[in-house]
Amino acid sequence: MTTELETLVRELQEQRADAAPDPDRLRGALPALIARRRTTRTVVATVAAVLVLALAVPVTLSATGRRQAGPPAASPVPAATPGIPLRYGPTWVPDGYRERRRGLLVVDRETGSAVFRRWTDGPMLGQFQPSVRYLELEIVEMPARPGPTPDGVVDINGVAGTVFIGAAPNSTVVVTWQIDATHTARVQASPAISPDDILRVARSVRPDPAVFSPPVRQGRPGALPSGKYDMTADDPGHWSATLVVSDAAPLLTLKATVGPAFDVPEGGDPVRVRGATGRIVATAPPASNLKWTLTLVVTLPDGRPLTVESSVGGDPSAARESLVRAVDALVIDPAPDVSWAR
Amino acid sequence: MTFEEFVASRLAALLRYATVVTWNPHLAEDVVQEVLVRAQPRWGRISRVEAPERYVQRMVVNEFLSWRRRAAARLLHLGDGIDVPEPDHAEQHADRDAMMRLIGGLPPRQRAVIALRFYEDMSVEEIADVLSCRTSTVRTHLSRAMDTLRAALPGTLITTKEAP
Repeated sequence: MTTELETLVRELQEQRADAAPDPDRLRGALPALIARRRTTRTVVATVAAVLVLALAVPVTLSATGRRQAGPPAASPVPAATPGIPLRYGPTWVPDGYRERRRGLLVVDRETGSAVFRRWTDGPMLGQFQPSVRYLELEIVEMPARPGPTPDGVVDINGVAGTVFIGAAPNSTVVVTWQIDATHTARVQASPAISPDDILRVARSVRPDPAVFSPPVRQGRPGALPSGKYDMTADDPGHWSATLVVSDAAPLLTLKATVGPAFDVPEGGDPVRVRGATGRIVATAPPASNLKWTLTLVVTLPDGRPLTVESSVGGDPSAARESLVRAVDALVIDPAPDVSWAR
Repeated sequence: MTFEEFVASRLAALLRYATVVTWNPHLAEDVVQEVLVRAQPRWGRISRVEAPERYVQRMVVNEFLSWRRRAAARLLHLGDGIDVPEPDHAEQHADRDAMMRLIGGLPPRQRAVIALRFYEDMSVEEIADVLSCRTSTVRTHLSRAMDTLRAALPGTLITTKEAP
């Protein structure tokens, strides 16, 4: 089968291949990476074991002291939510910025997990506001690996850090440095924030005892499954929490949001879930080779909406029951710690 | 061929191949780096297979297609533009840009199949061997990928037609 389309695809592939990374850089770094692999494996296995232990024992380090250590909670009602150490935080952010988001990315042992925190100069709940500027600190549970060629090298409290400036206009600036033996720190910010301020934020980062307790998670004991867990709060009374997991078999993806959600489809069929009556909507894909989306909406006992979207393969009607079971099994903290959003 | 000789002679081609498979130079570097770090201790065995380069190419595709790697790419790189193809000669080539983005937006397995088929000029049978799947599965991925591209093809770029 030879078509003009194939010719075009070949041309574009060649064009894309021309953007391949510089082989000399990787060639030069390879011996050290190979030598470091054994050490890294040991370190990561240890960190992962600690993380598993921390999550298996529901001890919350909340400053309010309203939670106590105790036996593991029975799903789906959490007696306590595991606390994830955020490890570090900036001691300086520009005037007018407040912490409004924190979260956790659980990936795998090879890649490591990451916690992130975001400070903004305006509200984050509601529709995306391009005018709201942000600063984000990400702590990745892995030593820094060689990345793209940096646009500059900076000193972060005696450690050599790198600066990346995106190629596109108004790209964010990213400062990366090795903050301790097993963690890499990244600070990135809206283009409107000056590089001097971004560096000042990076240099102000210090150990922080704060913890993040994912308010929504899958009802499995022990370690959190791979996925993204985050919480956004404009103030302690206005928050939303989201869980995103792939491979929530037999569902392909699952995104659960407690609190305001947008672009929720209308209509659907009534469904009994989490002891209440909700509705479930099947949305056809825009093309036949894409996936159906199932959206389940229900009001929780505290009056907050729970919206769960799932991408499903094959017949969506066959996946409805799986989605209901998955939503029933979600662990949702009715009173998560939002004290940090002040 | 020793591991060092393989890296010296084939790394550039491997990175180009990985960039076409992943459609993302940064991810390609990550994937190739990971594959080579894993391949080095096993090179004695890899070098004895009939086609070591094909074996490493298979490792690259499998690494890319693994959920963990894709999740890492999606979740860990919070910076902007990491998955977006670079601008292609500004507005006058907007349609080609659109096609670039479209290829980048194909499901990973479909993108891998068209990379193996058109960039590496592999037969359906060879692709099936690399991906450890049936030829009918390869044909399905290939057909779906091309259907998606054809359906969204800007009229200014091409008129699709089957060759005799």
